[in-house]
Amino acid sequence: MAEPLLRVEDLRVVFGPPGREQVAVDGLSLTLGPGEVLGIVGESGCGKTLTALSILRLIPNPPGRIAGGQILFRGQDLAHASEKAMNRIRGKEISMIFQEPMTALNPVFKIGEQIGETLRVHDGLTRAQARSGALQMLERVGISNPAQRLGQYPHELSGGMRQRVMIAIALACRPQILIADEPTTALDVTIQAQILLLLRELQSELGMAVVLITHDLGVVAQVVDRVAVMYAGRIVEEGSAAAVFERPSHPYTRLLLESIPTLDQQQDRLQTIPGMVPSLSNLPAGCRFHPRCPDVRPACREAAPASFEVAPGHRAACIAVNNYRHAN
Amino acid sequence: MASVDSVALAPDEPAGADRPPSLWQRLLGHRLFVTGAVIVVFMLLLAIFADLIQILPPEKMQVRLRFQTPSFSFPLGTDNYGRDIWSRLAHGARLSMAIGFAVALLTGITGTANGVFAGYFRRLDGPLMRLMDALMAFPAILLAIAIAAALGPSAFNAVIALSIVYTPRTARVVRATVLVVREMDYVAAAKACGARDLWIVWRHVLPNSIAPLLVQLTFIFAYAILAEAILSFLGVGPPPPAPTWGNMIAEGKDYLREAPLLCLFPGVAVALICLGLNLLGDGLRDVLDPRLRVQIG
Repeated sequence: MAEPLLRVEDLRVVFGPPGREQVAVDGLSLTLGPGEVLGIVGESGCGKTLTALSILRLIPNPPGRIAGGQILFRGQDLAHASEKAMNRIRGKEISMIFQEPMTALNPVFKIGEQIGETLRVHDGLTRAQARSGALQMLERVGISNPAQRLGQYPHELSGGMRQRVMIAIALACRPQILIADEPTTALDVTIQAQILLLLRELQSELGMAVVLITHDLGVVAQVVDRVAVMYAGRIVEEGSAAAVFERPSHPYTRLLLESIPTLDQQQDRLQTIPGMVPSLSNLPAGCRFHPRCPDVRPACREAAPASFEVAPGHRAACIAVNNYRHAN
Repeated sequence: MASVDSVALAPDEPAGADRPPSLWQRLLGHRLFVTGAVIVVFMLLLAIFADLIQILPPEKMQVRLRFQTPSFSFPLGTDNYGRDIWSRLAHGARLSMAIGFAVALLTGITGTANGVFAGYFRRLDGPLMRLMDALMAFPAILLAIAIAAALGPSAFNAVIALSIVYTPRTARVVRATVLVVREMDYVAAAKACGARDLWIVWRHVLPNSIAPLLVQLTFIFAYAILAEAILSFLGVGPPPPAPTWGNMIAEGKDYLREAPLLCLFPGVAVALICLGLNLLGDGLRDVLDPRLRVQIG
């Protein structure tokens, strides 16, 4: 792989006052190459969104803060950059789109102004220039009658259309990296597919890298190159999408894939993973998945497992990784 | 203050309309709002055209025509100096409305500034709001009297005193709204786009916090007019012979037995404008508050 565009190393995000901190993201490392689409999957509350927010340093502080690690973007450590430097990067170099398109647009401004806002903030464009830039972006994200839409308010648009507007805002300044935090979760299934397709198209057209955060494995399978599976603040498995889906090596990944209901099989009950994601205040010792793991061993309770290589570029943090290597 | 009953009295919207009624249509469909608006507009006209509708200059005394009862030439009668009450009432409306408006404007600015900074920049919240609490700890009128007395009796000082007194109330309302708005996704989205805090406050937080502020300011307007009358009555407002409603009541109270109309007319005027502004504010609140909209629309 080429020199990574973004390298997160040993990131720790904690919540709460010093002394009584709860660790939400614990020693997370990942890399993102130029033009690569990385999926981060996991159950709710496993730290996916926090990881994304910490890359842009948007974690609400207090109560949360980045307690350790590095976030290297083109040699600059974002974890320790000044607020001023971050403002130059946000929206210009690294953009983000959010889960809820219904509330992510300011209800009192026309969408043309909202798309133009980023251009005015970063590129110092005039109102008129920003307007034509906004028009171009609206065309690009495939909105019908873009000229007319510029003058509409958010409440006049549907959810899918608003998400397209959000994408237009995020991409207005041609960022190097787009972070999409569950961009399709709040949308209808048919619209989901359209938005994913659009993201994929724009990604190859603009040559940007994308971090796609989702809990929907179907979404991941469709669009990502590489996938990282998170559990309780740690990455438990990482590899190319094909490798992870065909040979899931961490028991958590395996159970996740097994709990997707299939149409061709008669099932009385849906497959689930027993137990719950542990709460931050009560994290189990050792491997964080061991209370729910069907294949738990005594060593799992002792120490957190290191990350083992399953195949080149495919790693899993499980001491039993060899057992699963050829299971499927 | 505002009664919640007005919601139940809110009129039905014309059914079967193609598009949701505009803000203006909803306001005009709100009976209490319209009632309040009519009263306030009437008082405003009285204030604006006081010079045209006056029968005599408000401070013109007629020693031989004291204590006239209402008649064709003096529709509301004359007072203890033979001054025409109708003319004084109209000019009093001008002073009261001007003072009320100035206080609403000033508290609007200071209260919004305090509320926005306290609500958005959490570090300022403690110091700013404790200062506001300290001001609120005094009974409003008492504090206004103290400040006005310290500054000296004049219309300008009354505005200053009342603005200081009513700033904390506005600040609290604005702060509460800002606390909600700052957590909205579009604020996070603006931050993710690299917008600076002051830009976010100006573009995203302020415009979305305006509705409760407007409602609050109509109430402040009413309180200010009432309080100004009280200050005048107690002698710390614009000094006599200025035709303020408070002065008129203060001068009339000595003759309450013989000529009750001297106090009655300005008293009714104060009550009426306060009622009008409160109805206006209630109506605005009903229409602007999205939580109540379901019951109305």
